[in-house]
Amino acid sequence: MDAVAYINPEVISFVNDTLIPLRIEASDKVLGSKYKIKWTPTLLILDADGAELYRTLGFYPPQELIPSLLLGQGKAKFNLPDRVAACVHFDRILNDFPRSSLAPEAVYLNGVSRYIESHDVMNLVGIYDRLAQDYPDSSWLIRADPYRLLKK
Amino acid sequence: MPQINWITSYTEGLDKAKAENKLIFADFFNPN
Repeated sequence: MDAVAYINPEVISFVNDTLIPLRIEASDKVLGSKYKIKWTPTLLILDADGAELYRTLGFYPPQELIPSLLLGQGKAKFNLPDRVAACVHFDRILNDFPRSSLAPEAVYLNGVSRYIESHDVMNLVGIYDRLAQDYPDSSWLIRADPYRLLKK
Repeated sequence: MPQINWITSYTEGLDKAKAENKLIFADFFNPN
């Protein structure tokens, strides 16, 4: 991560501007145990009380790290629940990183968030249609398959 | 040269997150 992702100017700006970057050695006896760190790198999104909101494991290149952190922020907001704020993060993934491997999940969660807020089933249909059109090989299309039956 | 402004103190990170109303990006890393 140090040799590639963390020296990328876009990653540096994104992390410094939107998050509090905290770096802890995985061998830290207290925190390594508290967060059950078994492999590195383990990347977490935490709230200000230290509660874990999102976890991912393994190396990310710069073009995938920002979408991953956006997804983590979006999921954190989704679970609060602050779905309007969550959609801001999911939209940014789809607008700025549409070819990211994480974009299909953002499509799904974006549509679900909008459906919960509006109760408009077209948001669920839209998940299926967008995934079928733009990400036909994604496993998220399988998860969205029931929504195609909602089409009128 | 710009760099990520890593905090290495857990409590300092929590305090800063509260003060700035932000989430924390925690990287548990292997220094070796």
